[in-house]
Amino acid sequence: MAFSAAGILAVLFELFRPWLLPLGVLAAIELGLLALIVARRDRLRVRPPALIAGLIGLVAAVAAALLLPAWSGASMQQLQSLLDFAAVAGMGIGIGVAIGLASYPPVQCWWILAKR
Amino acid sequence: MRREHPYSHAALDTSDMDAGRRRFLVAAAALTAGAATGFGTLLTPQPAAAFRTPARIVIVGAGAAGLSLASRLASALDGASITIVDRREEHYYQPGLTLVATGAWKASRVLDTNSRFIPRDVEWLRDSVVEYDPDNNRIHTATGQTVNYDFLLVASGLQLNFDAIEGMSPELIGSHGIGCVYDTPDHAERTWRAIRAFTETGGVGLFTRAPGAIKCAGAPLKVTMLAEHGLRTAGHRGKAELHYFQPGNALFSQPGIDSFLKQHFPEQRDIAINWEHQLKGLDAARQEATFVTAEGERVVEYDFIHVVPPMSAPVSVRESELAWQEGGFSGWLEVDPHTLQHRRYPNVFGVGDVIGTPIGKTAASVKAQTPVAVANLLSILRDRDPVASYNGYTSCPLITERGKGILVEFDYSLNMTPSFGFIDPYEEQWIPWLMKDRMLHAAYNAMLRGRI
Repeated sequence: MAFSAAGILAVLFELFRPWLLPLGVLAAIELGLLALIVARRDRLRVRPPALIAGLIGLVAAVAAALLLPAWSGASMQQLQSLLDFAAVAGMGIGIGVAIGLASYPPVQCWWILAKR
Repeated sequence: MRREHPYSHAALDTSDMDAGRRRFLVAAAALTAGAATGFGTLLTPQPAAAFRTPARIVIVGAGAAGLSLASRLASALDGASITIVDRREEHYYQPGLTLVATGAWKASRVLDTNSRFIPRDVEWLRDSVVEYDPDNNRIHTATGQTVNYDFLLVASGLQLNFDAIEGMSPELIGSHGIGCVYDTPDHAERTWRAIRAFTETGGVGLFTRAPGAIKCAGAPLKVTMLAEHGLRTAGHRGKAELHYFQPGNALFSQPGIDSFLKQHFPEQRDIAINWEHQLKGLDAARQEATFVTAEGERVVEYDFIHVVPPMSAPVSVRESELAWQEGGFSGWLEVDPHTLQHRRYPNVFGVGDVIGTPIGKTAASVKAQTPVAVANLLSILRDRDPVASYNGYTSCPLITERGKGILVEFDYSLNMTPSFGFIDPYEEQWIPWLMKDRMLHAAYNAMLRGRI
């Protein structure tokens, strides 16, 4: 059975439906922090906070990949195929990228405030 | 030679940053607008807009099929009077019952309410149908109401006939070593109590399967394999003797999976298969089960038994003119297996467990059937022929142990029809388990809202 892009989006939307409010709040905070960064652009230094955020993302990616099977009630020994390992790696990378991106605004703000 | 002001670079940066901020604000505004419209339409059912009709449409049943039909019709029609008839307030995510019955999920994960999914512009009649009168285009309800219709969609599901097994009643589930995964979260939870006790004590475990069409025909197999895995995990596999009782000579309708299971059960899991054994009766107090076999009756003592009762269309359908009057589908709703239109009453359609078709009593089948039934109903409303066709698609994430499974998808031809070509339909993997455990409930809810 074929799944359309809209169908997959609808399923993902249902998957995250219970967390939409907290995710919305988080998005609002992130947008606020980004606005603050733009307002304090004279103090902006991208590279060090980006590196820190990248490191946070990397740690999150590794942790997520290690914990994903247990999160689903399975164990690492139950990963059977190349597809299973690819899926774990892919989801870990996805989670890591998301957390890395989400952590950039607060890290950048902290950097600006710390270097005043 | 051009002299640069010491701050010219900074000035240039500022200029870029202003431009960047403008772009950022425009993008943020666009995202907000997109979110407001896109997410808004995902959050709530679409307003009726498409095809204007004064038709009176009655949907019987607010299960997976009924709710999915209601959502799609509410989106597709404008001006229609759509009524859904079901007395139940609660909604059960039945595909999750095997996980509740084997301890992987809490019962709360499969509990929901119908009110969360019934579109605003659909009238909900909290009642149940006791009689169909298709010659006069009306139904009669348990509270004495008569509801007239122009089009009828029967999605009433099926009924479990526990009384077809001597000595069995639903109240026994969870006691005397009796389990039954089907029907309600309460049954599943009580079954888990019985299975959990069995995995501690060991003994003789019997796993049955009713003859004839049953919903989620993979469930008895999954319960068997998950119970066996539970025994292994508890370190008590050596204390248990497991038997699977099959009324016929095949474990699964899809030939490749049937071959796999016929080898897997005895060789990999040490589960004995007893062919052509049909559960006739139980003596709960003595913990004995009686089977009808080709050689006569056979009585087997047990410490745990998983009972799968025979299933049929609800009495109101079975005893109506809408049912197949003869043949292998006798008693089930008589529809064309492809158009899902009733073969004798063209203003009647059927979707879900109630229909008499070769395969298709799963939530995945409902996902494939509902768009077909709705498209064909719309065709008739537009004075066209119903041409949309259901190919018999069904799916079973065949869970072989907690953490592994096989994603089985096939159609009327019994050929595999994998949705995702990269997932091997003959290999035990973690991915199908992940889908079952974390993704399919979301897909089910999207289906109820008419999104997929």
